[in-house]
Formats: sequence, C-alpha cells, structure tokens
Amino acid sequence: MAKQPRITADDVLRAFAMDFEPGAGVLQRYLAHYPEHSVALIDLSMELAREVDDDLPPGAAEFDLVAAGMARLRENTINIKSLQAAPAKTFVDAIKVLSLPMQVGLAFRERRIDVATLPQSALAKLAEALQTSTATLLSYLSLPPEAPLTRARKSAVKPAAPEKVSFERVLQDAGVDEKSISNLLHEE
Amino acid sequence: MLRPIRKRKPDGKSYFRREKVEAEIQALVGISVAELERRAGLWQVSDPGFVSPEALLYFVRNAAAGAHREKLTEKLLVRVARRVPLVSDSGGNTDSLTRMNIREDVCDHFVDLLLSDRKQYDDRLDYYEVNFNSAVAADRSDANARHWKHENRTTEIETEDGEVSAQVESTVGDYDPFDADELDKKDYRLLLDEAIDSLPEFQRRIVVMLRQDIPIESNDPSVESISKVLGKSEKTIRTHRDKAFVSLKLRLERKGKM
Repeated sequence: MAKQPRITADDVLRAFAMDFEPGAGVLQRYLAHYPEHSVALIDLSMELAREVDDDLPPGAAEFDLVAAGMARLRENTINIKSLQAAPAKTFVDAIKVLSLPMQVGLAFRERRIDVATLPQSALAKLAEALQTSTATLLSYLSLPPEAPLTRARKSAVKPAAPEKVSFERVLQDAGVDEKSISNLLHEE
Repeated sequence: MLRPIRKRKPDGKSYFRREKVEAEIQALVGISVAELERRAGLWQVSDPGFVSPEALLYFVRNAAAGAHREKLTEKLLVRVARRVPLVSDSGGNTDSLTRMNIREDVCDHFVDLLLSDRKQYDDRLDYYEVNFNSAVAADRSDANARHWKHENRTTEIETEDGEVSAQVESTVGDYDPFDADELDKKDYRLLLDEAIDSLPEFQRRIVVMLRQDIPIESNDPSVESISKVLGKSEKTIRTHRDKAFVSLKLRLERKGKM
C-alpha cells in the first residue's frame, strides 16, 4: 500500500470501504498509512460495520425514493423533442459508433431513411449512442423528412422536397463499401 | 468476456469484481430478459433466484437504453434505498429531517453517477460492482458528514481528565457492549448501532475504534492507538469510554424492556 502522489480523500476512503472486514485490522492499517484522514476513516468504519435489516421488505419510504430517482433518470432521457433540437454533431458523433461516415449520421438526423429498411442491430446501437431508446429513435425517424435550413440556403438550385430512401441507398451514396453494407444489413 | 472495471486503487493496482459476482454474471447472461427482470425484483438474499446488486448494476450499465434497462434500473434503486437509514428508529420514533435528507442525498448521488455513466464511462460506479453495500455505506458516511454539521447534534468533547465518578464505575463494572454472544443476535446489533449513534461525537469515535480492536494506548509507536489518533491522554479516553459504556448499557437495557 505504498503512497502515490495525488491520492484524494475519496480514493482513500473508497479503498478502505472496499477492503473493510470487521475486526480484521483494516482500520488499524489505514489509520497508520493515512493519518490525515483518520476522523473520516473512523466515521466510515461505523457505517461499514452498521447492521442493515435485510429481512424487512421494501416499504413506502423506499419506493418514494425510487420513484424520485426514476423521475430524474427519465427527465434526462433523450425524447423526440430533444432529438429534433439536437445539433448535427450529435448524430455525426453517434454514427461513429457504427464506424459510418458523417453523411449517414446526417441522413438519420434529417429522417431521410425509411425505417422499414433499418436493421435492428444498427438501430439499437445508434439509439444507445444517442442515449435514447430504440422506440424513441424509431418514432423520431418516422416523422416527415427534413432538410436543415442552413444547408438548403447554401444550395444554388432550389432543393427538391426530401424523400425517404432505403438504408442501403444511404450507405451506398455515402461511399460505404459493399462488404460493409452487406455486414450491416445482415447483422443480428 | 465481461466488460472489465477500470477503477484503480490508491497503489495503482486495479479493482476487480469478486469471483463470485463474475460467476453470477456469467450465469445470468444466458437467461431471458423477462427472467432477469423477474429475478432482479427479488429482495431476499436467501431467495435462490436473488441477483446480487453488483451483478444487477453490471446489467444496468451494459444494457441498451430502453424499457429493459429502465426496469432493471428501478430494481437497482430499490437496493440503494434499502441501504439508507430508515426515517423512524426501532422504537417507532419519527426521525429528523436531517436523516431524511441523508436518505435522499445517498440516492441522488447514485442517480447522478448513473446519469454520468450513461454519457461517458464513470469509474466511480465501479466501486458498486466491487462491493455494493460498502460503496453505499461510504455514501452514507459522506452524506452524514455533510448533513449532521447543519443539525444541532451533541458534540460534547470534554478535554479535562475528569475523574470517573464512583457511580459511573459501578454501573460500567465489567460491561462489554461487544460481547460475542450478544453480537451474534441481529436485533442486538441493530439496537447497538442506534445506541452508538446517540453518543456524543468524541465518545462515539472511541467506541467505534474499540469495536475495530484499536487499543486505547500502545507502547509500540507503529501501532495506532485511540489516544494517539484522537490526540488525548489515555486517562481521558478511558474516562469517556466508561461514560459511553454507561450510556450504551442504560439505553440498551431500556430498549430491551420495550
């Protein structure tokens, strides 16, 4: 247990928590090595030795805490609105998980892909990278296609109304090689 | 091959999941999603289908976003909630606002870590895969330190080496709150913890160290003694130990009669 530079109090206390065994001399060892954290180590050993009654079924107080925690987790889950508001970079970064070029990420963002042609595995991986559920991503992709205003304005000719195309076509247009396309489309 | 954990110890070595947990996860990988969700909801450790919180956390961290992950996460939060102190004690007394805040604080911290880990691997969650109960105990300790100082908790730290009164001496006698036979009983352990919590801070620390076999005094400079750690004379420590033991004895006797 040689001391290393830049060891935080949290590192020491968590290491103690992981090593702790009642009456096995662990507190003695940590007090000797980390006297600067002695008070925190003593207080922590009280919590580590504390008896928690595992025989009681979870009650209303526990479920209230769980409900509050789940509400916070759901608030932070990406929904359709936040996907619509997300910048192109979000999709471009996410598509890297599938090792695909940015054009494919933009096609997802602009909802130009026919969802019926999307393999489940690619959909699930992208949803995870976007920190959303597969169902939310599918709902988002099912909305009408849209070309971002910024790119439409830069076009010299009036852009045609965007259409949904197959995933395979998007991959081909982005220059993805045939073997990779085949692998992606047939991946379980 | 399970995804390894990344957190390192202060000495630079890696933390590992316990072998038992690794084996449990390997076995659970093969069961259906519905079965895993059902078993994650079992809360009795003695239930043959019980999933350890360490294994449950592994599946939560590695599941794709969606309904399955949400269900597992909910079961995992129940495990956290069960490890934070109750709002009322064994005597049915309503607990302080501080203790409720501590409960919320511990759960909030865990949710913070889950959210952070979803964005980018957060190695602070690794502790919970190594030893879930100890990691939550550390969170309780952190929350205690943050919240109790805001409450008017007794912090009686007497510095004078007062003589132990004859009454205290006669009450203590050969009383030992850590009697092995008593400690074998779960109810006794629960009451003892509660009684130790009620002690003034200085006495509580003495008792906590005695419980971990730290000697009051030692001639060996390499041995940490209570007197050395708390910076008080051996006599002061013994005086406060006796006072603490009297308090524990009376409190446990009172509770025992209830």
